[in-house]
Amino acid sequence: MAAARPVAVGAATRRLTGLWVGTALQLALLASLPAALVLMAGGLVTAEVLFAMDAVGVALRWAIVIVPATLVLVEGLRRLVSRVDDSAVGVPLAEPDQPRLWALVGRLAEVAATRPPDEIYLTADANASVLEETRLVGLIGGRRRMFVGAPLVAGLSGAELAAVLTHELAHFGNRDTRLSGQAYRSRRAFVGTVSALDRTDLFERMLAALLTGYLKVCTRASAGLSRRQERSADEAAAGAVGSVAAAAALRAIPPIQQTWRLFTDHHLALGWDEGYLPADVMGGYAEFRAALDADPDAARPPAAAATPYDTHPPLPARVAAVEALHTAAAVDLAAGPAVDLLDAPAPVLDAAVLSGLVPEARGKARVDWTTLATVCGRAAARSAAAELGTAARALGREPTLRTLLAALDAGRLADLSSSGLDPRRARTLGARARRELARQAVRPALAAAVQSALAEAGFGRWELVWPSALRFAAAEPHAGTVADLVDAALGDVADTSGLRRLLSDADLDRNLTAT
Amino acid sequence: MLYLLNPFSRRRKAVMGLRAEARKRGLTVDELRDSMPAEEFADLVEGLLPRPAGPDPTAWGLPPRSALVATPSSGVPAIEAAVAAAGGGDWQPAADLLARSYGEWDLRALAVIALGRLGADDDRWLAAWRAAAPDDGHLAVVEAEALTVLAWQLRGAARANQTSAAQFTDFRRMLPQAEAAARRAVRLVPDDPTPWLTLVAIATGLGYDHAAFAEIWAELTDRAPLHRLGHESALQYWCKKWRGSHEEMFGFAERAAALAPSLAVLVVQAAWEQALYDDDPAVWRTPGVQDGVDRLLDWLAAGGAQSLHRRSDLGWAAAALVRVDRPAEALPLFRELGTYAGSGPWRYSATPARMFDSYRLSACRASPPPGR
Repeated sequence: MAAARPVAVGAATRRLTGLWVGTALQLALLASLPAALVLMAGGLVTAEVLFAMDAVGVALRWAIVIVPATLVLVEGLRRLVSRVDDSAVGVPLAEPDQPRLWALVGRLAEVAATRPPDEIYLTADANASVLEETRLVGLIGGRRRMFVGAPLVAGLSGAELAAVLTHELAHFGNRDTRLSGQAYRSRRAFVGTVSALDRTDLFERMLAALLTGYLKVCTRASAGLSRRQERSADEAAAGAVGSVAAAAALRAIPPIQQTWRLFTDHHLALGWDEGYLPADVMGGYAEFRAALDADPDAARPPAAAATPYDTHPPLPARVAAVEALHTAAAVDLAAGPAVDLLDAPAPVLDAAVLSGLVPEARGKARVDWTTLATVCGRAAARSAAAELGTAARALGREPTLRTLLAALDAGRLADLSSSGLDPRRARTLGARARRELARQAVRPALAAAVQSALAEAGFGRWELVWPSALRFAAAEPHAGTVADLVDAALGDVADTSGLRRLLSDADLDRNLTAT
Repeated sequence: MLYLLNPFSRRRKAVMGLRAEARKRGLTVDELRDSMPAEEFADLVEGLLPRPAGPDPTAWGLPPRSALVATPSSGVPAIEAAVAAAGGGDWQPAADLLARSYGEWDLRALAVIALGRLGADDDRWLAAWRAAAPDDGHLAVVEAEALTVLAWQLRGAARANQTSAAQFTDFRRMLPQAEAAARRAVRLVPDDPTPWLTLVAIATGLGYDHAAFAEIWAELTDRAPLHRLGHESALQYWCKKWRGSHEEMFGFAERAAALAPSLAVLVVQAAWEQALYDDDPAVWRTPGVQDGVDRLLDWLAAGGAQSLHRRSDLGWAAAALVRVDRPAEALPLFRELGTYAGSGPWRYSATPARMFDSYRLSACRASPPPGR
C-alpha cells in the first residue's frame, strides 16, 4: 500500500505534467501562427527583392504571384492580432436590476475558479455562452460578456441553468491544468477570426482557406486535450449544482433548442405579414412545449448539426460521466424554475426575444394568440381563395363563390386550375388526368373560400391548436363536414347542393380577390 | 465541349442545327423539345445530321419507316369497334362485347384493357353508362382498369429515379381509389378474373409485400390458371425494379413457361427486364434464356398461330433473336408483323417506331435481300 502510493502519485504527476505541457503546446500552436505569417510574408518579400536584384523581368513575373500572396498573409496577420470583438446582442441585464442573478453568477464563477463576467445579456437563441474580447490571438484578455438565452431561462430549472453557466465560465478557468483557460480563449479567438471572414470575396476566401486549414490541424492535434477540457468544465458544473442537476441540464438543452427553432419558425411568424406579433411569446412557447411533450407522435426536427470546430463529446457520454461523479451541490440554490432568478421576468424575456428579430418587429402590433389565429387564418384562406378568383376572372366572370359553384355545376373544373403544368408532362396526360390534377389543385382553394365565407357569416372560426398551428372549426352542426362537401362539389359529377345549403346564410357574392 | 471545335463532328452539327431551328420558331431548345412528342424530336435531330448510309427496309419486303404504327391495339376488330363507338359516346357496343366475352378470359382481358385505356382519357361514355346502369358488373371492371391506367398516367412511364415527388404523390393517391373500384367489381362479378388482373397491377404500384401479393395471385389463378396478361403483369411485380429480384423474376417466368407453352414469352420478357436493369447484355448469353427463346419460337410455329397474342409473341421473339445474335431468323417475324410496332419491347420506349425500325434493320443486315 505504502509502496503503491508513491507510484500512483508519480504517475499522476507525470500525467498532469503531460497535460500541462500538452495545453501549453496547444496554446503555442495557436499563438504561433502570427509569427509564422510574419516569417512567410518576410520570406516572400525577401525572395522578390532578390529576384529584383538579379533581373527585373523575372522579378516582375514573380510579382504577379508574390504580391497577392503577401497581401493575404499580411491581412491575416492583421486580423489575428487585432481585437476580436464579439458584438453585444440581446438585452443587457444590469446588476442593480437583477441582483439575484448577478449574485448567483458571482458564486458560480468562484466555483469555476475564474473571474465573473463584466456584463450579462439576455438573448433570443437557445444557447448560453461566455465570450471575451481578446487581442493577439487570445493571449491578451479583455472585457468578458455572458450571454444567456431566454428560452433556456424559460425552460430550465434554476439549478440546471446554473450548471450551464458554470460550464461556460469554467472554460476560462484553470481548473483542469495551467494555461487551459488561455488555450480556450485563443481557440475561440481563432474561430472568431475565421468566422468573421467574408466568404464572397476572393481574397478573404483564400485567407479563410489558409486559416481554416491551420485551425483544422490544430484542432485535430489537440482533440484529446479539448475533450478533457470539456469534461473538466462539466465537472465544474457538477461541483456547483450537484451531478443530478448537471446531468438533467445536459439532457434538457437539446429539446429546448429543437422546440425553440420550431416555435420561432412557425408560431412566432404567424400574423407577421399582416403586421401582428404575439403578445405573450413565452406563454405560447410554454404551451407549445407542453403540447409536444404530451403528444409522442408529433414530428420533431433533427438535432442541429455540430459546427466543424465543436469539441464537445457526444451527449450520452457526457451525461454518463457527470452522473458517475455523484457530487453534491456546492452552491446553495432555491429549487424552482430559472425565471425565479429574475426580477420582473416577463418584460425582460419578451424584450430579449424581440432583440433577436429584425428591427421592424418593433412596429408590429402585439395581440393575443386567439386574435392571431383569426387574423392568420383569415389571411391564409383569403390568399388561397384568391387563386380561384383569378381563375374565375380568366373565364370572363366575376370572382365570387357563386360563379365558382356555377362553374363546377357546369363541369368547368379543369378550367379553374390556374397552376402551370410542366409542358412535357401536360402532353403525356389525357383530359381525365388533367381534370384529376385540377381537382387536387382546386380543392384547398375551394375549401379556403368556403371557410372564409363561413367565418365572415359567423358560422366558424380559426383556432390555434398546439402544437400544430391553425385549424378551422365550423360551428355546429356543420363541424367536420366542410371537407366532404368540397369533395362532393369537385367530384366527376359535381354536386354542389351540399355546399350551397351550408353557405345559405353566407355571402356568396363577395369578391374573392379583394383584400 | 471540345466537339464544338470540330467542324466535322456530327454532334456539333446536331447542336447547331437545333439552335437554329429553335431560333427560327422563336423558342429555346428546351421549349422546342417540350413542344413536340419525343419521336418527332428525335426525327428532327436525325434530320439535321448528315444521313449515314443505311439499308432501306423496302428492299427486304418490309414496309417503310413512315408507315409504322406504334400505338398498341388489340388486333380484334370487335374490340376496336367497341372502342371507337365508346370514343364517340356510345357505350352500348362495349357493354355487349363485355357481356359476350364473359368466359373467354383472354379476349375479355384485351377488351377491358383497351376500354380502360380509353376510359382513362375520356370518361364521358363511362358516365353515360353509369347513369344508365350503375350496378353493372362489366362497367365496374372497366372503371377499375381505367382508374389504374389513370394512376399510371399521372406517375409517368419513367423509372423511379426520374419520377418527381409530385408524380409519386398523385400516383399513390389515385391507386387506392382504383383498388376500391376493383374490389367492387370483384363483388359484382365474382367469377371474373379480369378485376384480379387489375389488382395485380395495383398491388405492384402500391408495393404490396409478397404475402399480400400471393393472395391476389391465388385468386387470379384460381379463376384462370394460364391467364397470359395476368402472368405478364405479375412478372412486373417480381422485377427488381418493383418488388422482386432477378432470381425471383426468373423463377416465376420459368415455372410459368413450364406450365404451358403459351407462356413461353415470359422468359424472354424476364431476360429483357434484367438486361435493362443491370444495363448488361450478359443475361442473353445464358443457356436458360437461349432455351426460352427457342421455346417461344416453337410456340409461334405450332400452337401460337391462332393466338390472340400472336403479335406480342412475334415482337418479343424478333427482338430477342436480335439480342442473342440470331438476327437473320428474326426477318420472317418482322415480315409477319408488318407495320405494327405496338407490342413487344418497343412499347416501353419513348420512341417505339424508331426502336422497332433499328431492330428490323439489324435483321435485314444479317440476311441477303430477296432477289439477289
